[in-house]
Amino acid sequence: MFGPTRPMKPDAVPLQDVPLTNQLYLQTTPRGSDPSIVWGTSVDMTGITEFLAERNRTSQAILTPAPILYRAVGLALRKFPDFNRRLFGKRAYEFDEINILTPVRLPNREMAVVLVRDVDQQSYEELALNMWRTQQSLRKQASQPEGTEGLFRRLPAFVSHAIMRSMIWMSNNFLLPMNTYNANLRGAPVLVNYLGFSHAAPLTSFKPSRFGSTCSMLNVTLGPTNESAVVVDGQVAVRPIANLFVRGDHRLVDAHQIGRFAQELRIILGDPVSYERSLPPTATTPARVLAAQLEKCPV
Amino acid sequence: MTDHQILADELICYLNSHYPQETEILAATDLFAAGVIDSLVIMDLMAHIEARYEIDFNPEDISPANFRTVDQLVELIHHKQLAVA
Repeated sequence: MFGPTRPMKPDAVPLQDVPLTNQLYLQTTPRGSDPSIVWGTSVDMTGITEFLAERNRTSQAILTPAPILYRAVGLALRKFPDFNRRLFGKRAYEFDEINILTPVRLPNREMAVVLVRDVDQQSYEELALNMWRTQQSLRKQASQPEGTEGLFRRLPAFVSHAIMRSMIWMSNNFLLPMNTYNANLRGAPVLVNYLGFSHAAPLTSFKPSRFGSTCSMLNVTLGPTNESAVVVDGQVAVRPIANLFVRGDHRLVDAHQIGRFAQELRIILGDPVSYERSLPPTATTPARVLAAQLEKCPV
Repeated sequence: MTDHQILADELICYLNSHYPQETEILAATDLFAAGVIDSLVIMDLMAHIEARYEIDFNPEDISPANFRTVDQLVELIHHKQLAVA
């Protein structure tokens, strides 16, 4: 039930490694304020669309853009370790695993947040199969009236609300062991959300919410895919485009870093084949050449 | 009508009413190509089928081979029902 204090490294990031601007935010951000930065951009989904059409003919598990997005975030966290951090109090700590959180919508309108560990080391199919298993399990649990949620709901509101606040406060201020009940408050720096569900409106602007945890302070959200006009080699072309939103926190990173992180995601998502297995391609592979050509925003 | 056709018609009716597309979903419609399939639809469809036909899906059942068309989904349901019987 109780695990070690991993995936956190035991020592806080040395203050000399924390830019003064970030320290200013750390020391002066009053409780309840929001030092968030949201960077919105677009992703050419041609590669993903073709990849899924071809791979869903032979794969053992149904593949959607979601596992591709999870792995892309994992690879970007590996390349930009400054994002693989969380706060305890006023100090930043690095994770020594590459994990993500992702929300799962349950039939009873509840939401579960699932921890996916070592996301950079799993293939798309492994991620997809694990997520289907998790969703099946959560769905069956949610349908049982005597599950944890059912019992929690029977408590008086002032008790359950106090428990919620305490869990957040403990998670934000103490380096406690990670267990099954607090894994989604302690285990990953990022909440990854794929919102490309059917009948969703085009996602042209998005500011992700964040509850009081100082763990998953990074958010990556990918919206639905729509045919859009873009400029390629000076010509207008119609491509399947989805909008991507990255929320960072100025107590950990700045806009320059967020922009580069977002660009890395665009590159990886634009070429899912090249990034399916461990080693990313070099600077001259088609993925990065295409990314350079597609730097212009949609018309 | 055969059992297969009855079951297929029920599923088609469910999909067309809950997830209407520009063109009507038929028994042989490629649900991936038609853009019907996403994770929410799959979970919802599985919950509906499990409750309606009293079967249980395994995570390994969530494969493209089983969910590509309504016909293939009906085959899976029949297979599950026989296993229960």
